[in-house]
Amino acid sequence: MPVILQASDGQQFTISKPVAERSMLLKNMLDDVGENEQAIPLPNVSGPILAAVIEYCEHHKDEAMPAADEDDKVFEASKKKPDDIDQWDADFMKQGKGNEELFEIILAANYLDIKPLLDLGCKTVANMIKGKTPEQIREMFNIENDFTPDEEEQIRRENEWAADA
Amino acid sequence: MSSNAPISNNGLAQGCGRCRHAGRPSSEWESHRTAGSKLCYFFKGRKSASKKAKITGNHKDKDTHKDKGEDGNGEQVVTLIPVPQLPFEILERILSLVSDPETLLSLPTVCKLFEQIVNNKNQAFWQEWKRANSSLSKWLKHAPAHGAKRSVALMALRGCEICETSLWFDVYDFGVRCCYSCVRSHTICWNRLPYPLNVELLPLPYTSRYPGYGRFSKPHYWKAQLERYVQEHGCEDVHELADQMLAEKEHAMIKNIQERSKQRRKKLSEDSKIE
Repeated sequence: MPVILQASDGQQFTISKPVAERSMLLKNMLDDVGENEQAIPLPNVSGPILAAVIEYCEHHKDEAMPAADEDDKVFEASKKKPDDIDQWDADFMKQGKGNEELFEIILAANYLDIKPLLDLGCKTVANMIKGKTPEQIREMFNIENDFTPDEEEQIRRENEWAADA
Repeated sequence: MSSNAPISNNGLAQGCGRCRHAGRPSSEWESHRTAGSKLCYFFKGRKSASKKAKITGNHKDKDTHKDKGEDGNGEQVVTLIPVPQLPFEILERILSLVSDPETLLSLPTVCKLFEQIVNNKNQAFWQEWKRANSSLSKWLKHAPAHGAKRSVALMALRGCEICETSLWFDVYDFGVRCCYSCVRSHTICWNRLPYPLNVELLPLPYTSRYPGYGRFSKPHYWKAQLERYVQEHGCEDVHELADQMLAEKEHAMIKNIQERSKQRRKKLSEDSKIE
């Protein structure tokens, strides 16, 4: 029985049940409601982002889902080497995705409760941060420097214990 | 979207002198913070996004953004999602996956939100970081004594942090990563301290590992920490503190003798009454 998802912009996507069940939110919803021909509205996810999420879920549909109590263990195991990202996943995150689209995928994964995708998104952003100076991080992610010069100096000095040694 | 764009008549667009965020009321801007500069928080991002679209000739980038509007010239205005708008837990998770020590230690200087996460007093971020980077948990070896951030700075960074020239270094228990000559010039051995400072060991961290004396040696204290300790007790130098401690010790001893003789007298009088 196919599942119909409706994005915030009204775009509809028809997917198979195993693909939909990658999302814990949809899985619980389907368990509660049962088989239904009505579209499931997802007001927090736009069409293009939902398409990307579906692409990810379709690729990983045959992989074992972590049981609820094993979530932490799986998360820990997957995080042991934060740089370690599967080639397909790395390409998926890179493919024509800007920072804003990447963040929207993370938010969608969080909303739909797809832990592996959320983990992948977080890892990708963390890898983007690595090796960057604070100024480069601000520029890359449009972060405003909200420190006064005095506060910035104080924080910088706190990092340098040797300064007051 | 030029810098000379006129200010809208409805008076809604304030702050940013360039894009005015499609003339929306400032209450809707959320992250449109312009306190520090006259430019919109998003301006730089939009500029780079449009530049990218021009280079690639691909306008899909613009269409896929979350929020779209039109400015006075009919040009599309795109709203980006900056990192600080991600939920706190997700941002914490992202930062906990940063394993590069230099980046990790510089995160608090990025913005107040990052500072709040990394310098979290209940150490939630570092617990999460330890879970995420189990192979690097040795970096937190000195965390109980010197804090997680300092411990990472001690264990993960390289070189002497005092002279900053020597590549030879060691990490000492009193929380310093330095070379042999720096540790010799900045420390004092316990037996050089005046009595009773040397006997009643100070509550300061010390190292028993000392260059040139094998693995184990007499406790050595970091001079600057010792000076601070002396000043905290209202003294000028270690000798004054030692005198003060000696006087306190004598006073306590006299008091103890007086109390014991009092108790003895009391016991004797009780014994005589019984007889």
